[in-house]
Amino acid sequence: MGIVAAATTAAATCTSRLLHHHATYHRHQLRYSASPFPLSLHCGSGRREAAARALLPDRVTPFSYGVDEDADDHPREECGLVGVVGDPDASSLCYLGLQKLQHRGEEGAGIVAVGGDGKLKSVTGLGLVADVFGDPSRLASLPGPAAIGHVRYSTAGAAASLRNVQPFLAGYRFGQVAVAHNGNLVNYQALRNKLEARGSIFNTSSDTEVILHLIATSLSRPLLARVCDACERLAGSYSLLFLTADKLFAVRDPHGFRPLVMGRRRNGAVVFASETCALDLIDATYEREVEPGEVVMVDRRDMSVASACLLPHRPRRACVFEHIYFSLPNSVVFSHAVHERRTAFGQALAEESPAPGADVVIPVPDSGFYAALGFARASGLEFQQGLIRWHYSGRSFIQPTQAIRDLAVKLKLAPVRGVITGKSVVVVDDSLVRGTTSSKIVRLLRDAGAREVHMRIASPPVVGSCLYGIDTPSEGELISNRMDMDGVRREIGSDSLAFLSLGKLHSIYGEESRDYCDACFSRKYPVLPTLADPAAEPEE
Amino acid sequence: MGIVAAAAATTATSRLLYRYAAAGSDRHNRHHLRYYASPYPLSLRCGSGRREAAARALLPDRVTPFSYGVDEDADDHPREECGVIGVVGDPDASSLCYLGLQKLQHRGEEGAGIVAVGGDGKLKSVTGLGLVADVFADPSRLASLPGPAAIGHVRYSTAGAAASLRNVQPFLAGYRFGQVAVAHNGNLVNYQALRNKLEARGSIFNTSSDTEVILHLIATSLSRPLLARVCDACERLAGAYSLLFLTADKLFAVRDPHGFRPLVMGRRRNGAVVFASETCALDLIDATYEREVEPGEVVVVDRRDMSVASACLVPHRPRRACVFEHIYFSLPNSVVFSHAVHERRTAFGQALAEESPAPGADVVIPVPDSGFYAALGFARASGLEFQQGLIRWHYSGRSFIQPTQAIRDLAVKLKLAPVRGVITGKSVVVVDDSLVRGTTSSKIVRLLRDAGAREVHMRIASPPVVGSCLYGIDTPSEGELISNRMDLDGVRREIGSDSLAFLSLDKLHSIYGEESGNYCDACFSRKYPVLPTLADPAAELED
Repeated sequence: MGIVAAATTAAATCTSRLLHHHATYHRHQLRYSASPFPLSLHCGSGRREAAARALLPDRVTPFSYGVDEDADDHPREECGLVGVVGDPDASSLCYLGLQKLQHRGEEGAGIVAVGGDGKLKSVTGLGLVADVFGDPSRLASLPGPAAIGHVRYSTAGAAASLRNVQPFLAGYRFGQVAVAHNGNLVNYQALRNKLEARGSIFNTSSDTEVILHLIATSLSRPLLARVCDACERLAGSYSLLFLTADKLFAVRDPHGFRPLVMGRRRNGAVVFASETCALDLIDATYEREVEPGEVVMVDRRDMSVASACLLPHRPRRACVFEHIYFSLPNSVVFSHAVHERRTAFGQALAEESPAPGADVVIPVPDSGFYAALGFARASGLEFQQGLIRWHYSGRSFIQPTQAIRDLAVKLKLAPVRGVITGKSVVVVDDSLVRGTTSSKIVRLLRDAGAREVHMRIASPPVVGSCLYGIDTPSEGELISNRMDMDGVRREIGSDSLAFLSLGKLHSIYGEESRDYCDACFSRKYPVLPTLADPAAEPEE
Repeated sequence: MGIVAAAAATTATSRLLYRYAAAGSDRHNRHHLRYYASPYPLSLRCGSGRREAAARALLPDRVTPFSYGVDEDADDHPREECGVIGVVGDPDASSLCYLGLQKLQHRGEEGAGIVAVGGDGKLKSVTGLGLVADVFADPSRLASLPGPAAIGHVRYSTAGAAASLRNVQPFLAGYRFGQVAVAHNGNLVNYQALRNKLEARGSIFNTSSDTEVILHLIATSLSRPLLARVCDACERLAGAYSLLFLTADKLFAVRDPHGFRPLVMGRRRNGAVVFASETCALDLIDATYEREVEPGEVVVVDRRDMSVASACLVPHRPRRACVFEHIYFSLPNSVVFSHAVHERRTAFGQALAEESPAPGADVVIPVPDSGFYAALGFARASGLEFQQGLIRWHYSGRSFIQPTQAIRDLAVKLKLAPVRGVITGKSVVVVDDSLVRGTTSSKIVRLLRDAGAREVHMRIASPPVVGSCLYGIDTPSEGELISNRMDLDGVRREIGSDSLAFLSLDKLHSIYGEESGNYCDACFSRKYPVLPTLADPAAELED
């Protein structure tokens, strides 16, 4: 099989669009077709969809975080990526960028760098970035002009384990390749079964490992085609960085679920990252997003940049929760400034569900801040900071008695009595998942003497689990699945409760609302999991 | 020498009695004590020209104990140097201390410790370097501290020159009448003189901490009983001290006669008595704030019958509470010196907007987190839009010096990031609580300009810092204080802003009104309530 140019209209459109975007680059336009294992799903197939829905995971968080778990039931982003090519300080820049992406994963961190000799070296560890690289010799052992880095929680990997910390590094018949992944593969089990039937062995419980096997077993040449071949077998969400002796690849799934952006430093180095806040920190100028379905390849020897498209083209479905909660407010994600999106959500919420007669609007810090500002501005109410978040981290442990555990819950968030006592308070949060955080906040505010507590949530009720890289509680734990709105209000104990409606959320995005995945609010899943078929043999 | 009631203390005693009557608790258990006749009165007469001139030469040229890498570069605020907490009458005393210390972590990140008294009356100690949660990360460390009374401490050092486990409090010592532990927030300006005298008498010192002299003074005091011994020791001290002492059967809370550093008292529903530097620690462990420990007061709680007694240190001194606790150190949700901190800061910001408006500006943003309320106050008073234009990155973890200067320069930006959509093309008023060396401010101005701000107007919600602190705050040396080296326009040019204004000292005083005389503002005015004693190595202690 060779690389052929197909004349299909969809591909031509995609190529034309990319051509326009890439005018400033030395560009090789490639498109690879003829994967022997097309795994596309036909959306809307009733029988398949009904069967697949039964496979929706009942997910449990990997392990308890003690008071952290009690204190905060937001869904968690599960990975952050940084890649740098063409800078002698590549690994140090990755290190700084990963620190800026720490909010995307606190469980483990790692960096793989390519040395002058073309050998890939890896340093990984459990914990925060600053702890993993607390020993200066660890970073010093990673010299070289190209590196990729990763922070994570796990999605499909069931336990915290050093083996599951990325980037993964593997040797195969043509050399070494490292991979870092943000997302979740919904056909992981099916792929793994096929690969194991063929003789592959797995060292981790991570879905990402199948990608390395697919690259190793691909019959395509050269490496770019091999990468395309492997990715076209994947289903679900993936933003990927691959590093080899002489190339760095950035890949985004055809739906574009998770963010991946590209930037450049003044010295010409090319940088990829999950969010622009990491580019800003290391003085890389944001250029553009990696397009959904795009494979960008940078050759570190001559710094040439080439781009290819994965087939088939799929409708764009960016994760709306990146704007609601996950990304930092100073980031630009999916070409929108996050703080502007959140302010708009708060303003819309005030239009839909005002709190007449309230005295003050306060945010649940830190992520509810901009929505609360927007709410206050649109409603004309006074904005105040009525809750202080305690920001020290450090290892926690389960306290010796329940009485002490109950007190420790209050460590994270403290009321400012002068702002709250005797007042009717509107408290704005970005989302409500299990309701545990909200009920604690209402109790905190009442104990501090609030006359009334009006809870306003700047996103719709969360009713579906995420399949694409977010660790959500199981559907049975989602309070909005179990109760209607008044039931939720009684459960959390507020005087009133309102959510931003799905209709209003869509209208904020206007024509591009269909470019977003809102399955957690609508249960409309763009890609459903593939049924695992252990008996199937891969075609040869 | 016996305990005598002197007429001079009547006013203070009456005032204290009145407060207790209002609280209405343990009235029958209260004994009013005042101890006088210390053989070593060390009071200084303020205003003595010659002594004052000589003492001023001793003002410390202080250097921070060790480098914090990017933390040091990122933030040049003066640092509070201790937090204290004590619990008596609760079976979970040490766990409550642990939680309270976590809430006081902003008062010291270098070391933490807890001493608890067990059922057998023995005192046990656990201390360590680092954050509270790290020191007590091993559950067995807290489990080894059972008992109904405990005191705890978080710290940076003031007089102790280096980070060292030996300098981590509470200090625990045995002496002829048993064991005593002490936790100290403040700084003793006559430490060297006292140490010289004690060493001349034969005492030996295990630490470089000023607090250790207090234990020696208790051990060498000729007074009886322990309450009188504590009073005797404290009356020899000069400077700032909020102290907690723990013995087999008593917990003492002491505040220096000026009341420089805060110390508050609260009670849990089960009757346990709690002392803490700030009310935020009381709130966390469900203790209701009752009152401040008064300047010059010694409160003693007997853990066996939970009786509470109070004594006064003599001589009485004018109140001088640290105004910087309101400006920066304490948490905004605390009540400090009977004022809600967030209200003070909002008032500072409002006054700043009245004094130094920024006409033509588009938006007001805070330097997070401590500049928040001042910026809200400024925005409200000026009618300008309030926004969050700078995001602080809150992850901690060990830092280290980065391998190259280029990377070090980038790491400075890790702590604070601009929100471009709020800043680009705008004329921005950025409000911070204080300006010390100017390093933070110049970085912020550069950050904002790099993010496309059209103009940057820096507004500081406190007066220019011109003096070092002698009373428990680690300030840079006076030569490093930018407002000592330059006039207002010089500072403005140095930090690179389009305009710069501080809250004036007069305006600060007018916010406090009649009680402005009760505050120490030496860092802004250079009027030091207590000056250091000249060390006199030749002197012998009178016996």
